[in-house]
Amino acid sequence: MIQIFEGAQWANGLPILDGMYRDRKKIFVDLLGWDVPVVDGAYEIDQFDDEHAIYVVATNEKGEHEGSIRLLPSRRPHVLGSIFPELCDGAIPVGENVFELSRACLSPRNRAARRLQVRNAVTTAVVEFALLRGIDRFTCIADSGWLSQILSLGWDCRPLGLPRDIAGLNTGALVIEIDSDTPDKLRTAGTYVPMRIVHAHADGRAAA
Amino acid sequence: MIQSQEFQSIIQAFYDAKDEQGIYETFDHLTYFLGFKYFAIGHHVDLLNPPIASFGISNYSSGWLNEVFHERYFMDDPIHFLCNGRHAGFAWPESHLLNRLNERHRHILERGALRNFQSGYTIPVHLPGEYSGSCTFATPTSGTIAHNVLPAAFFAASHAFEAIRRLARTAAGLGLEPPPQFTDRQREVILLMGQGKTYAEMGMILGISRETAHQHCKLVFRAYGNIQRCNLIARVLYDGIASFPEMLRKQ
Repeated sequence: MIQIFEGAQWANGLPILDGMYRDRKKIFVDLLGWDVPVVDGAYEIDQFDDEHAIYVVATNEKGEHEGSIRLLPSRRPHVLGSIFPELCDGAIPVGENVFELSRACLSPRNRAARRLQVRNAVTTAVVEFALLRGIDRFTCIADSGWLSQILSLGWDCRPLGLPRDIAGLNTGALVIEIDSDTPDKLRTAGTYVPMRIVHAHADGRAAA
Repeated sequence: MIQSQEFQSIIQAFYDAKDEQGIYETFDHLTYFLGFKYFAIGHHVDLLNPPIASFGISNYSSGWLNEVFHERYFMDDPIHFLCNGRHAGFAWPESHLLNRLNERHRHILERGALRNFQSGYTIPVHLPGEYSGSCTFATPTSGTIAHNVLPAAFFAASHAFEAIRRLARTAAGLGLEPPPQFTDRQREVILLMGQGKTYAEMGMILGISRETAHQHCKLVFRAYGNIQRCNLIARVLYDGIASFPEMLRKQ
């Protein structure tokens, strides 16, 4: 199942998001060795995980985190604008309908075939959510480990500038254009997953 | 220093290309733009019997291509060999890479150097569930690679690979079927088949009858179009449904 969470919460928050921060720590800190903050020795949570962050999260039948991605509004501080602006050779794309994708994470507990299904489901959900919200552009930063997979998803993806060597990896900024044709482009690429998307925030707010 | 605008317009040109000719011309432009002379991009497959939706494009001389085909160098390509297990691009020849090559690999590399492939930069492309591929840029002079262009080379090559992949998939009628999905029980019998168990042994291990174990296996074979048992093992490993450690662990 895919759930959308609007606004970060951790510690006494939601078990699903806690599982996501834990898997992010396993992937980005333990496996890839990124220099990013770790909270309580277990959760990878940075300055952008705030009330403006949106998370698209895939869970299994037990409600455990299987994969996720973070959407940040471009009008607020975000990774490309605040940390790596030099990857963009023109103006950094900013606007109400422009969001940044970051922290794409697949659970290390799943094996390759399942990770691929989750990757496609999260991507489809990101596209459907964008169409629902009127988001027409995503920016993202890609390094050599992920670039081919991002491109192979089938959407329109172009460079924003010359890539650079950052911490030994070829790294560049990309822009992904989203319009009503994007779901068909995913279908052609074989990455579209028909699904129902649950807005987890609605229940949370009603309860609060 | 290379120009960002030109870099971006070259990548756009790859996606706008309608056919192999358009791709070839754009690649020629990109190769010159990056300061190289030769390029080759494609899947690492048997070039004499290329599988569906695979591709290969290069501006190598016909003399070298004839030698590659005639001597079947593509089956033991040293650069393709060095792509195994890595995502990052690599410049060659570098001594720590060359140490991993065997006699036949070194021979092919020396023959290439005689044909003016003195040094180069190669970008591996590994997509889950697909044939591996790569893109190589080469120069006829040794030690002239400008390392500051390599990130641009990596990104441009990755975009080019994707643009050609889309053309090839469309031309092949999108002939890439997603792998079948299996239940937990079906995956258990797949692993046991990989471990060489008989139906009776599977039944004992799983606490079910021999006949029931056989039924589970039959459904697995059917999901792959009545595949043979040996071929099934290769397919499930290739499709990522099972991994080598799972298959090879002791019961």
